[in-house]
Parts: sequence; C-alpha cells; structure tokens
Amino acid sequence: MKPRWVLAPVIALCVALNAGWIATHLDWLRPLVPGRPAPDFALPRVDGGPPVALRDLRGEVVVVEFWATWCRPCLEALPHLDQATRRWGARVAVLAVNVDDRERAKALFADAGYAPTLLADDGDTADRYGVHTLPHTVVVDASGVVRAVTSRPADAIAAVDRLLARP
Amino acid sequence: MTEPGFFDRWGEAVIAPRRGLARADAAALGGRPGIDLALAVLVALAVAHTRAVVGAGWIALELGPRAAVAPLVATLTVAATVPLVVVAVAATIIWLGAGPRRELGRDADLACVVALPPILVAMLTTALAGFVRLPSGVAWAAVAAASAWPLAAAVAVARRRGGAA
Repeated sequence: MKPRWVLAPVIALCVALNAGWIATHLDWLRPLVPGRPAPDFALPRVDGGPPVALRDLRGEVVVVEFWATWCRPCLEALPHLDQATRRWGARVAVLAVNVDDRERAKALFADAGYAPTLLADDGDTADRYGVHTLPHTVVVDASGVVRAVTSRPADAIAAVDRLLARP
Repeated sequence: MTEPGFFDRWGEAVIAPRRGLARADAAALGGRPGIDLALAVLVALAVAHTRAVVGAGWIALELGPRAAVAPLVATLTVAATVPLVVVAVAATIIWLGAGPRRELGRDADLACVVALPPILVAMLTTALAGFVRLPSGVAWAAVAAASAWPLAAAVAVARRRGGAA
C-alpha cells in the first residue's frame, strides 16, 4: 500500500463532514448584509441574568457590538457606545457581546459603569454574524432587518441616529 | 526507486516517520519539507476549512473581493496556527536534543516533517467542530499526541546525523 492512502480516510471524512454541514447550514454562510433578516440568537448575560433573545427585542432598534477585552479599538469604542446608549435611552437596545473572557469583561463593565447590556458569545453567534475582525457592529431595525454592518462603531451610531430620525 | 510524491511523503510521515525524517534530513533535499508543510496547510484549508472558504467566496461574490480578504486571512491564520506552533516547538526540541550534531536548517526541515501528522489531526478536529463542540484543550492534546512519536524519531535522526547508524 502506498503511504498516501493513509490520508484518504481522513480527507474523505473531512470532505463529507464539511459537505454535510454546508448543505444543512447554508443560512450560516450567507453574508450578513443590510436588507437581510438578522439571524436570531439567545445569548447569556455575563451578570447571570436571563438570556437575551433577539426576537424578544422586535419593535426596538438593536445594536449588536462584538468585542474582546484584548482588542484596543474595541476598548476605545466602548465609551462612545456607552454615551450613545444613554442618549438613546429605551428606544435602542445595545448589546455588547464579549467573545473572549467574560470575567474580565464583567470587571471592565463594572469598573466603568457602562450602560450597554453585556452578553457572552456562545461560539456560534459570532460565526453567524460573520465576525472576522473586531470590533464588529451590526445595527438591526425594529422589524429585525439588518441596516448596517461595520467595523467602525461611529458608523453604527450614525446609522442608529438615521433610523431614529425617520418619521 | 522513484522519489515519493507529496502525498506519499505526508503519508510516510504518519505511518513511517523514521523513513520520512531520514529522507528529509538528507542535505540534498534541504528546504523541501518546508514546501511540503505549506502544501499540507493549503490542503487543510481546502478540505477542513471548507465552510470558511465557501463563506469567504460568497462574501467576495456579494460584496466584492476586498470584503473577502479579512475572512480569508482569518481562516488561513487558523489553518496555519497548529503547524507553525508545532514547527517552532519541534525545531527547538530537535535542535537542543541533537547535541553536537545540531544544524538549525536541517533541524527545521525535520520539524516540518514532525508537523505533518498533527495537521491531519487538526483537519479532523476542525471538520468535527461543526458537529461536536471540542474544548480547545482536547484539540491541542490530540495535536501533541500526534507530534510525540515523530518528534522523538526526529531527535534520534538528528543525533545520528553524519555518524554511523
């Protein structure tokens, strides 16, 4: 037997597993672009409260900010997002989804007294939202449709302001 | 005897690492194990990270090629992490273990062969990750286990280098 054949079962299994996954998860691969429905999620609060489900926020504008404690641009953006959250009040739900270290994130939010709701990623939601760089911010309108996808939280804040300014 | 091709050399690193390592240690073939390693990473990218590659392709179609760069780079980084970590650790151990017969270039070539079996394991754990949530510790333990025997063999090959077997 040629040595190459020892690779065949592994490669065949990988191909089969990936083909099966792709066939059953096409929605997960579809790029998240403005105009598409936002994928639903239910993520745990870092402070231990009840999970937050996107579908329960229908009727509100929602900002989903993916961030990590090691990400400097994320940390620089948080105060601006905090200010905007306070300015928007109950009209907008701002969800800060931490993707790395929930304990450090919790301490950071407690120290700074940030207003956004701190959630922990479940390992799938960041994938479904196409998070490849951080920060990654998605603005969802009151009907659950994506209105902005950006790596610049300032753009997300502007997008929310535009949505709120609509009659 | 004809020289084995890339897939045979990869398979040999898995089932007969001593033979593969001895071949890689031959000075006339210096550098080829590095090319084999790069090819194996590309195979892993295509076969095990297919979802991410398809996702990036879809992004390129809908949003343009520039938008696909970040996801592709992120995927390539993930695919290359295991081999690069294994090569760095293995090259250090082989270099230290080779004693007076150490030669950094050839030790690095041996380390590239040591990294081939773990790539196969990483491909499997990556492909399974869509169905089973494996803790990263388990995946790294599997990689370490797959590296152990080839690494021991590589140190032995390096220690015998240039002397009587």
